[in-house]
Parts: sequence; C-alpha cells; structure tokens
Amino acid sequence: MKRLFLPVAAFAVVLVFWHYYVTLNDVPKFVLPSPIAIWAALLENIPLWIEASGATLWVTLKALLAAVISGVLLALAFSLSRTFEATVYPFAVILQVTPVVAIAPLVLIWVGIDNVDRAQVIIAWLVAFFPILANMSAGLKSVDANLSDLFKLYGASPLQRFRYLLWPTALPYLLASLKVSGGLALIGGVVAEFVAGSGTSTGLAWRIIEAGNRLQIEKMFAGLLLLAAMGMLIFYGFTLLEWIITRRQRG
Amino acid sequence: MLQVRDLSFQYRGGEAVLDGLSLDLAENEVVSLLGPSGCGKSTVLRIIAKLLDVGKGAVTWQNDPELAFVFQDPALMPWATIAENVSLPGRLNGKIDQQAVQAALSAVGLTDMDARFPAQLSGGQRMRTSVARALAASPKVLLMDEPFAALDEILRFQMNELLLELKEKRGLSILFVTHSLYEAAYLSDRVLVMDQGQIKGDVIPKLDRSLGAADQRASSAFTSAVSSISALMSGDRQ
Repeated sequence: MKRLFLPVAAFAVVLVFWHYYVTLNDVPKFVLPSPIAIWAALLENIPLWIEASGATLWVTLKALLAAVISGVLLALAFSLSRTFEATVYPFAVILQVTPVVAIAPLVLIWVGIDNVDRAQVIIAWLVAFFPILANMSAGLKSVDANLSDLFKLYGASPLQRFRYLLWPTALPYLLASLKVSGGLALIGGVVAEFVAGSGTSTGLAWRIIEAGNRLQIEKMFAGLLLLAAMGMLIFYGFTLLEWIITRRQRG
Repeated sequence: MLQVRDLSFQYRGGEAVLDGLSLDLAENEVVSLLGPSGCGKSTVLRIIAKLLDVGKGAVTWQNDPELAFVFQDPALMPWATIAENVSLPGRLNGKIDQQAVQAALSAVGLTDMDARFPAQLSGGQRMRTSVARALAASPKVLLMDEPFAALDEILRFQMNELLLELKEKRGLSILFVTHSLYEAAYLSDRVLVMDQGQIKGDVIPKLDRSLGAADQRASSAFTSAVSSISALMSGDRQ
C-alpha cells in the first residue's frame, strides 16, 4: 500500500505546487500551462486522443511482437552454433549502438514512402530487438550444467531439451527483457513519427508536433502525459506478467 | 556388473586427470571413491555415465543396466513441482510411470510434498527429491557425486541411513564419490582411495549391519576402517 501511496502523494504535491506557481506568477500558458489547462485539453477532444494513442500503441505492440519473435529465434540459433553467434552478433550490436534517430530517415526512404506505418514498426523493432536477443541469449546460456547432464543421461531429444529445459530456464530472462523492450518499442515508434513528419501519421507524437506548431502547449503536455501513461502501462503490464509466471519459482 | 580398466583421461588442453585407473562394481555393492579435491573422482563417474567420452581404457557393463545420477547440487527444475521433477526421467523416455514416481516419493518420505515447488522445500528435502528422481528411473546402478556434501551433519546421517535402506530394498549398486572418510567408511562395502588419477588402495570396512547406526559407528570395525583409510590417504600403508 505504501509503495502505491508514496509516489501518488508525491505526484499530487508536484501538481499542486505547479498549479499555484503558474497561477500566482502569471506564467504565460504558451510557456508552461497549468495542470488544469492540460487536463482540460485532454478532455476537450477525447476521441482524437483515443485514436492517436491507439495508433501509437498498435505500432508499439506490432514492433514488440516482431522483436520477441526475431530475438528469441536468433538467440536460439546462437545457442545452437557458436560460429553463427560470433559471425552475426556484432551486427546486432551495430544496430543497437547506432542512434535510431540517425537510422530512421533511411528506413523511411526505403520502406516508408507509401507506407509510414510499416517504417514505424521497423524503426521501433530496431530499438526493441536487442535487449530481447541479449537477454534470451544469456538465459539460454544459464542452463544448470548438472540438469543439462541429466537430460543427456536420460536421452532427451533436442525438442525435449528445448521444451523442458532451455525454454523454462530462459523465460524469466525473456520476461525481464520485455519490460525494457516494451518501453524502447514505444520510444522507437515515437521517434519514427517525429521523423516521418506531417500529415502521414496519426499517432501521439504527431499530435504533439502539431500542437507545438500551433503553440498549443497544453495539448503538447496532454500528449506527453498519455505517452508517459502508455509507457507505464506497458512496463507494469509486463512486470505483472513476470510476477505471475515466475511466482512459483520464488517459493 | 561394471568393469573399468586402465582408464586415462585429460580435459582438452589440460593435464591428465585419470591415469590408468581400474575399478569394479558388483551387484548390490556400495563402492566409495574417496580422495582429495581434483583427484579425478567426479571425472570417473561422468565417464561411467557416458557424460564424458572415454579417453583411453575401457568401461564394460554386464547387461547394460539402467543408470541414475545424483549430483552434489540437487539440480531440480525450479519451475516444476516436486512430482514433475521426480517424473523427469519418465517424461524424457516418453512414458511416465506414476506408480514408480509415487513409490520414489514415498521411499524418500516426500509423498505429501509432491505439489510443492523446490523453492518451498528445505535443503534436505530438495536433496531427497533429487534422490527420488534418480529412483523414479528404476535404476540398477546409482552414481552419486558427493550428494550429501552440502548438507549439515544431522541431515547427512539421515540421508546415509536412507541410502542404505534403499540399497537393500531395491537391490541397488552404488558408486559413491565423497571426500568424507567417515561417510565412506560407514556406507561402503569397499572404499577406494584415489590420488592423482589412480587408485592408491582399497579398504573393506565390514561393518555389522545388524547393529543400529550409532553402534555401527562406535564399533571397532568402523574405527579400524577409518584409520586404514586415513593411513592410505596420508601415504603410509598399515
């Protein structure tokens, strides 16, 4: 209870301070609008915000799903062949360390001219993919050596080995990486919308740019608020999933 | 039922771990391999279990009996219940024999724990689960690699009793690696003292099993076995 109450209380204090600071000092609303103005901007056009949030969330989830499938399959391939891992892993690292803002325009040119949505998913996938690959790879390597020997002693087939040993061992690692990659996919999706620019996109980032161009700062904040809420939802959603799946192992 | 002859082995790029080692294991016999850390005890077990390839020498089985392995670490699957852990050998062989699983759980006194997870068990119970998993494979030969080394003295005594009981009831042959000479002297029909990849000599404790555990440990046969083993280990044969 305390863990829920303390951050909420701290947030409320910040909001109250913010509100009185802005109103007492007559801060212009195109510099810093009050929390009440932001709330009003949010309520003013609920269908628009729902549509924009839905578009961004959809891109995020598609990218995350692609990242999970590709990350898990590649990690499995790594675990089967060290040579393959040594050959391919550096390229995955290159993808990870190159700033996504720098890659995004290229991706947009290659696949996004007639299909911005696809480019967004690819860009979000690019940033979400590596933590899943790295964690899943580490998970597959963390198999208990004695258990592994037992599987050999009892003549386990490769499929049995994967199903009963490798997958359950790596699953907590995969779940932990989802918490990171979920947030990264959202960031990737937003970056893609920013780079794609006007007219083509319908997500939250585009609503923020649009509001900024019109100096509707309270709308920018409303968009930011929704993005932060979505990030929190993704993070705590995966935290809950992790807790449910691994609770039996903690005793 | 098992003959090991002139076994030599070295890990890739390493020094020789085994150097012309020979041993035998008869039916319903407990043989202990005793020696300092790094003398190659575990390597012998792993080669016998085919977890490592034979370097030089020969490992010959009569009738190719069912084997089971128990490690120092219980090596349980934390995501699976005790019953699922114990039924692992059956699951991997494509047929889970629920009767064998229940019999194994009851043999180690864990019948009412079968729905729990390893994290909910004590260290001793986890070790019992590991032994039950080995029993569920209905083995003829049990290979045990310092199975009770991490347990406290009281639990270790209990596990020793359990093991002797199982050996009698199920007619098991047991090859037991340990670095405790008291444990070796108490459990074994024969103790093989190892050093630098070779068997330095053997001791036959000849305890009177009709006596209780405490009386056996206080008997002259036990003390004499312990002193013979210790003399062998320190190099001066009695």
